[in-house]
Amino acid sequence: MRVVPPCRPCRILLLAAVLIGATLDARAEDQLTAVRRAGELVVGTEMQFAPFDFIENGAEQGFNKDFFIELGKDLDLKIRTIDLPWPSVLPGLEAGKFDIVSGPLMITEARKAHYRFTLPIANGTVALLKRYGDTRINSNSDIAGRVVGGAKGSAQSEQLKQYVARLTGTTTVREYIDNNQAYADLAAGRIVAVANSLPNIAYVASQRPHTFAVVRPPFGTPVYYAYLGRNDAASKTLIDAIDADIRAMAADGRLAALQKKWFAAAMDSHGDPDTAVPPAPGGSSRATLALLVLLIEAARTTVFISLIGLAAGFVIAVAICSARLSANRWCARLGGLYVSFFRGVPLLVQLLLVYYFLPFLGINVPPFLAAAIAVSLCEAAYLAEILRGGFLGIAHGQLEAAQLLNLSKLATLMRIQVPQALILTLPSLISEAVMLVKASSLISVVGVADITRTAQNIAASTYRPLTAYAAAGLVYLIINGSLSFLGHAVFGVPEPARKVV
Amino acid sequence: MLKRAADGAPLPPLIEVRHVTKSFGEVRVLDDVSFAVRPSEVTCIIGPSGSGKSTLLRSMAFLETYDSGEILIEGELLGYRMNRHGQRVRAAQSEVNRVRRHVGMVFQQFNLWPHMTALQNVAEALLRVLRLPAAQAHDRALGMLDRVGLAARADSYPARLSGGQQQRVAIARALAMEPHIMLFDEPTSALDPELVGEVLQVMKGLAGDGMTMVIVTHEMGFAAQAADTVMFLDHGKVAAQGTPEHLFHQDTQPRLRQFLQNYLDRNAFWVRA
Amino acid sequence: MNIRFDASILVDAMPALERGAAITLGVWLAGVALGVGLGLAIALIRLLCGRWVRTLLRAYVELFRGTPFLVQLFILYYGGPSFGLALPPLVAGIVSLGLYGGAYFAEAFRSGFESIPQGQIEAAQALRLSRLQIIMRIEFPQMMVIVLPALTNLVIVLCKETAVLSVVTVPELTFVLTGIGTEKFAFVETLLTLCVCYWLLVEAASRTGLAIEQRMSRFLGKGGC
Repeated sequence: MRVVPPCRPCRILLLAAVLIGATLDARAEDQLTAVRRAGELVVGTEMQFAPFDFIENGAEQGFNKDFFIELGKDLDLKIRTIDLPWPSVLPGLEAGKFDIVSGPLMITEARKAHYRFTLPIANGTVALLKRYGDTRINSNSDIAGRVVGGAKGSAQSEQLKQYVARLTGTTTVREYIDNNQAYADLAAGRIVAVANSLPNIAYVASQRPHTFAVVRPPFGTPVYYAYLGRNDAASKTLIDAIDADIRAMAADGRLAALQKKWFAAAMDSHGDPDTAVPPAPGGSSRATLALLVLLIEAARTTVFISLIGLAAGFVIAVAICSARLSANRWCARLGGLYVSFFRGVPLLVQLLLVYYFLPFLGINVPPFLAAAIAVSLCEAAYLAEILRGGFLGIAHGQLEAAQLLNLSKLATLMRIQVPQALILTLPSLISEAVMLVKASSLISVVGVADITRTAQNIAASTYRPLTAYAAAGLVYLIINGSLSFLGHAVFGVPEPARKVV
Repeated sequence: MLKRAADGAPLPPLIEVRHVTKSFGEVRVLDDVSFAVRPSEVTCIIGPSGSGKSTLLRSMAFLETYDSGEILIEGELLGYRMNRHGQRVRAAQSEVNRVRRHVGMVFQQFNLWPHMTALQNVAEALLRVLRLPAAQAHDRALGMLDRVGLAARADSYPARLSGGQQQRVAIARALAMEPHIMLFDEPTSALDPELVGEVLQVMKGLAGDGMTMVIVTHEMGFAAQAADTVMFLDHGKVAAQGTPEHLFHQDTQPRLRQFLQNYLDRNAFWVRA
Repeated sequence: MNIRFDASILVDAMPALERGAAITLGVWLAGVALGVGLGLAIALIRLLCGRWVRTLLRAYVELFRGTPFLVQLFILYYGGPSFGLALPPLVAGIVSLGLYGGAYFAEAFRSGFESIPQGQIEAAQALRLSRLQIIMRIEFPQMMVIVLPALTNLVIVLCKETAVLSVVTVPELTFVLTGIGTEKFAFVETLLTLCVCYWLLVEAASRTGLAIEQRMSRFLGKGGC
């Protein structure tokens, strides 16, 4: 018997219902099954957290990597790790961009309310790192009245501040952009101690046993590290499976072995760590040539983002410039405002604005893209000014001729004004490119792996900051020198004398 | 006009140029130039562009070096000295300044200092070089400006003065140092035609007062009227030299005649050939 | 995701903001003073001294103009201890700013000196003014007026570069406000405030520069060329 199809609107509604149902179904499929089907587990984190997650010689290293290798073997899954800036990690988890966050994170009540932690994998109690041989600091309270450091906005810094508030005298807490800067200042003698979780401290001390030492016992309230997943029904199966594996690894000693390897001591995940003699995990010998190679690879990022900034910035600049020169008063005002804003606010602030704002708006882009956007917007303002000079330099008569020939405004812009403005302003564009390459060094602050960021990593792992940064400076000089040379050679233009900066 | 000594004999020359040669790379800009300038003599140097006139004049103020030969200012070698091996070496700046202390120069582009008034321009060297007290410098400067007819514009900035007025201030500035010799490098070439006259007037006045002057110029009329000697320079050589009467009317060198004819064609066009 | 603006955070942060602003102003002005002094010294020495000194100074200028300020700051602050120079953040910041600015100011002054017509110098030479007198009385006064637009520009650049000092913990505006922002999760309020603060500073500098330019231009005309 033939089935009579329902009427048209009903058919549409039915189709919609089926589709929605299917989507819901898909989401309702539990995560473990989904992961098994995909054959891989996607892990999100920021690879700037030694000894758990860090980059050495261009490859990921650390406790997390080793742990997840074991996990992958046990659960028969491939592991894919995504490196993101920290503010994007938790939003990314919630948006479903990956299955689990490695991190790891400290287990706190606030976080437990929103997320599901795995079983703890390390003891995260906050401790102090001091200079080796500094006899003034023998116990935690000896930092009273002195200057100590921590990473800005970290939970460990918070604990440090709470601790020093209970000490006598005024202890200054200096907050650094990341822990490596703090360690560098500790070695230089500007501060007497750095507070961080015990695994991290222990790792640093084991890397440089004659520069640093750990102050025992840790002063913080006992707290533990774990991995993090979503707190919904679908994720339950996945986290349960991971927990089961953690128990298995603890039972057969693999967990303790990993902890010994990376934290220099097996840490009972529910008690005090035992004090073992720290061997240095992993070698850290690298040739200076490898250093330069790393920097040159990073130079690609720098040059790439500069090119994007110049190209995208130029397109935006054409729009801004025509707005500024338009007869419409509001257009002109808006254009002027844009230029005034982006030339009046430091690029660093603009970078932070884009970097922190986008996740706020729900847009999670990798740091490179956020930086590229910020750089393009900023560069557009400068290019718009240069273009304006070029546009004004085009004899007015040409525009009148175009008008009489009935050329559209857009055609006039694109075929007459822009090409000529380009020619007139070419020398300035070369110096803009040079400026952009230098300004791009700021993207290191938001974690993009450019020349400066790579130099920072090298400085942190080789403990030779002068060499690292001097090498970075050299690479920048080479790039800028080549740009200027290119400008001379290809366009035959000398460096414009009027533009000094 | 040429002075003569009490006994009627000609006075020793103030400037002597002897076999001066200068090359810029391959090009011989000055080629064995020799002449002398006597006290109160007015010498005009004429010639086509590129003939080395300016270079010659500037060498006489040592604003240009010269490769060989000698330039003597009041008997002293300018710009060089003999070292103990008998070789010619560059003299120290202080020595150069000393030898040319009685030489004043007026430039084609006036070269007034725009951030100073006319009076300040004239007084500057009096204060810094001669170290005159302020009041004396001020008075002398004002006197000089008066001599060129610009006492009323003493407090004007150069931007507010016409080209002719600026050049007159420049002349006053050089005169204030009481030079024995005044060098003029095409003093009216940068001026609008109407303004040329006032500058030539001042220069004629100077000549009448007995100043020794060497003038590179295109103003043939001025040369004809005011010069004692006219020199024609061509490709770095002194091609002709003599009184204005001789050069303009008697000398038959083809290049000189050609040069003068070109000038005539351009400037006295209403004269039928 | 909704964006809320909680002005009370800013009100609470006022004292910290004032301290930060004071540091920003202090570092900025000190950096400018150091930079102008250094730049002027370099420009004058380049006019007076011989080839080797000039080449050395040219190398310094090219080095500091060809590398990013952040890298220079890191070399001084983090690399310093390697050769025995452990400067506190504030001092390192000012010195770094001064060295960076000095290179740019030196170029601006050099450009200014070069734009003075050679004829004026020849006239002075013919009148037997000494080299020093020529520089001080003829070249320098004119040069200072010519470079005013470039100077204003550089002063503004240095103002914006003070933000970079936050990376080495100098407690200026950016450091203070981003700290509050991270602490209280108030990025919108703090970053916008930061923008407004710098914008104001830059506008003020720009207007001041323009006013000075207009006053000084009265003197400089086109005479003598």
